[in-house]
Amino acid sequence: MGTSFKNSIIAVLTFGGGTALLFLFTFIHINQGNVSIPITTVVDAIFQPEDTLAHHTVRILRLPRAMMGILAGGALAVAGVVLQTVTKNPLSSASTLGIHSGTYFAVVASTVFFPIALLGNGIVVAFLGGIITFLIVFILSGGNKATPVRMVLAGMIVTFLFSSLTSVLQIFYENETAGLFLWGSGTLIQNDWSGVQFSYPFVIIGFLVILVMSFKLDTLKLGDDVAIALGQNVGTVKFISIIAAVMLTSVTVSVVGPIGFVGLVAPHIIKLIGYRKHVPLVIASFIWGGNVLLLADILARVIDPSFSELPVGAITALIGAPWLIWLVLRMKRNHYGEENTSVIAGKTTVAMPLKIIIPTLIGLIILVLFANLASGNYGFEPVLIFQAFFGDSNEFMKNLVLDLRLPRAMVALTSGMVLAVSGLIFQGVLRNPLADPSVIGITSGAGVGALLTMFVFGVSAIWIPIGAMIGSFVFFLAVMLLAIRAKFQPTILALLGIGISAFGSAIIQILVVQSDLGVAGALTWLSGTTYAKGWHEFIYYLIWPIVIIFPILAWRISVLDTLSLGDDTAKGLGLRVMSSRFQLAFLATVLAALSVAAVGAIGFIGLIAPHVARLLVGPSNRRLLLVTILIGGLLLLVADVLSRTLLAPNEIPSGIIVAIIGAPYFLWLMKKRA
Amino acid sequence: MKKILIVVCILFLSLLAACNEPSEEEKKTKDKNTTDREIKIEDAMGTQTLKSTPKNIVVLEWSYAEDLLALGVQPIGVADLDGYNKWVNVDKKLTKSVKDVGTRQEPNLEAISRLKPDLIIAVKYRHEDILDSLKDIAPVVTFAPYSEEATKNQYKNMKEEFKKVATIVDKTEKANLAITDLEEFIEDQKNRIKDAGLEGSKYIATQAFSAQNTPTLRLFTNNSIVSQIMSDLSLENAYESDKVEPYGYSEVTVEALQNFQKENLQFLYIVQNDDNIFENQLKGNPVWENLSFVKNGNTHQLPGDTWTFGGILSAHVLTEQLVDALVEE
Repeated sequence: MGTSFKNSIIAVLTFGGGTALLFLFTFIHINQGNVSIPITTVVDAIFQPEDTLAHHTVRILRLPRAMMGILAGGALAVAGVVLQTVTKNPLSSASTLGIHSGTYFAVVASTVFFPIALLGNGIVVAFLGGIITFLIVFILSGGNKATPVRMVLAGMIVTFLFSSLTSVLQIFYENETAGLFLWGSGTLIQNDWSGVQFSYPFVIIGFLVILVMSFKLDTLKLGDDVAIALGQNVGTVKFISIIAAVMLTSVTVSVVGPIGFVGLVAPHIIKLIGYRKHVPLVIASFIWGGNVLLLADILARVIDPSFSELPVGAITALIGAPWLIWLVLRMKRNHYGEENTSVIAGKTTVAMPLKIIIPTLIGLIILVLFANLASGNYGFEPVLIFQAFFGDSNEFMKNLVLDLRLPRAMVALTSGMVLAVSGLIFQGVLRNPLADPSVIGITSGAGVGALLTMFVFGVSAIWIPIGAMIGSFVFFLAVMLLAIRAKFQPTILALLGIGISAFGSAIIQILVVQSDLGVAGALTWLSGTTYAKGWHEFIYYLIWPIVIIFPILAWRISVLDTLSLGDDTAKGLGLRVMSSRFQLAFLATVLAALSVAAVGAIGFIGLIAPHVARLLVGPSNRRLLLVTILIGGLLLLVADVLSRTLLAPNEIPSGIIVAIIGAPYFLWLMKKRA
Repeated sequence: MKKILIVVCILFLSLLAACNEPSEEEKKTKDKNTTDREIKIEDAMGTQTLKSTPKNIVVLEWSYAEDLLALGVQPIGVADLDGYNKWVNVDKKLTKSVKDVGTRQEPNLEAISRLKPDLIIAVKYRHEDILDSLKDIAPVVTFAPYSEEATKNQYKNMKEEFKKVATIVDKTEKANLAITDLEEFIEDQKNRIKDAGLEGSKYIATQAFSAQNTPTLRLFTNNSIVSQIMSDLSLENAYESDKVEPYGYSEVTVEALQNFQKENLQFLYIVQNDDNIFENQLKGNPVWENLSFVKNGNTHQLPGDTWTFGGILSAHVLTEQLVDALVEE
């Protein structure tokens, strides 16, 4: 009797209270705006509309925005429920699985190449982009057998990939994509009811389809085998509900842009309350998803009451990221335990002898270095090099080669080396093939540090690198402190890194919007580039890792091999697992921070270089170290020469070139492992 | 009466200017002297000393390119030349020989270096962290058009920077003439405003575009060049921001326009033809149609290529476009 009474109280609070809160938030929401309109006028505008400006403002600008918030929040939350059930992954949502970035990329790409396909807000394009991205992530991370962490990491990499491709399009087709730029962060602003009118039929259909599938989704939770035994067509259920979930996501992206974390937070609130069955779960998630998004939009305008808009997506990430971290820490015992996620050991290809590999790589580097120095705005001019180094050229060309091209090439070469080693260590420490300095949150920490240096302390751009280094260390320590209780388990570390990264990105977005000016320099720098780098960066940041840290690593690197055997085995072999992990991760962070200070956030090198090295010489880290160093240097050296010459005199950030080279390789790698 | 006075003034000024014009001979001797004249310039980074009058100048921000044109000097390189040709719409043109040196944010060091300039004009907010590399190529003068001081009155700052550019290329007199010319032109245009009965009117000026299908408006604040010229034309800006806007405008949505209903004001707007939010998104929308200045037909469109962030020549064009928009309707 007591429990059923308690249950009905909870039900009343969840559904009745949630709906009441929805009305309350809507009311607060429509009282916010650029013009102060008295509350009585707002009430009149709703119940006794007249043909006055204030009434129209409430009815045509503010109400649609609130309604769009409820629709989008609800749709994203319901999509989150479905994704979590079907992938059997509590961390799934449209943003963590990369669906948002894929959808966004599809819209940007078709704006450039097939504008005709964008009829009806681009819903078809967005939908196809979403479905394809989901399939890529789902299949490449191992489908039904994928561990949650692998799936989320795959989602993150795909996000990374699509955002790089989107930036490429934005650089090459600046004019065509100009209007889409702000969309990337998601905002609820509406001019009239057309956004709501367009989206509500899709949302209702998607919602109803999922509601109908609810009982089947319940069975699915018992496991595929049980569901099949109960006579269910598992494939069809999954197919239909995923289609509905992606449709809900793409309709919100096509109207309000990608808004992350609502789909993660809202379903978990309901699950925490205690609902497990899908009918109440779906309905309550819709209500609370609307609440979360409305509240975020209210907060966005409280934080920034001026006319300029703070993207609501930044606020949801600011709320959502700590939530993700909390969720990870809370679930560590029951779900992940000491599960062996090692994927590095084994799968040895035929290892080639170092005697051949290393001279070949050094030869290649010399060759590319030569090509790099010989190429510039006027194409490939090899004769110049000889003249520059051996006498009789004019002073001017000599300076051009020795003062502009050579130092920049050296910076590219060495920062590529440093980044690659950092990636190698993180992959070993986390026992995760997808790890990279950005996974641990270091890159986003560097961004926060850089912007805070400029925005809060108002110092000049010269201090950015120092701010960036401090930022990356703070974020690294935060991740490590949080991970202490989880004994630095690889999966936990990686997930915490993702949470911290998202939190950092949200802060970056808010700072950029708030500061109006003076961050332009920081922003180009953040995207990662070897542009205008010279001896200064080389001497201050890049020479130290090579002189001091590389030798230490040469001595300590074999610890990674022991770690890769799994915690128990490593302990059995007498290794102090926790402290070894911490030490190595610390060294890797120093490396990443130094490279970030020198060339900004260049991704993919730390990810790819160790893998290429592994393919060539097998899994032994001692053998890997030098090969990884050489490959990383070679990659960035190639990217540097391309970034200078492809669009000359305009530059393409070399970070983006790396992504274009790295992306296809990466997809191939994932497919091979799946 | 006032008109006659103005005409007299103009006559007097041009006479003065003519008197100042040095004879051919004087010019020649002056040229000889200036070949090794030393110039000291106060810029954003301190005092810069130039050994002689620079001949080959690379300009990394558009407004200084038009400043040079106004002084009869062709730069040898300009950053984002396509963008310059698209946006900066002034009578004096860059010659074909002017080279593109990459984007304004990331100018191509090698392209600059190949032009062998003897001066580079840069701006602090874009080029601060590459100044050392630029200095390795040639002497650099760095302006700070959006510094706290400069942004208080961008029109005044623009004229000061113009004078500095003139000092560098040794054309001070020509600069003073150009400034007087502009001021006279504005004074002249004021009469058209007066004839149209708009003297002393309040106005809002905006540049509008759509971001994610949402109409976004940049309302010019009093520190902007637009607003300063309008005030010289005897019009009063109805929009006041509660903070100093560094770029000279606040970004608002259409809802903010309701704050300007009491005054009978003129609404000036710049839109691109393919992104005319007032035609595409707002036409028929009661929150727009019911605004007092829309009802009264007091909206005035400026051409899409109106450049509000330019130098001395752009200010001339801008004045004409503003007055044309206000009067001819």
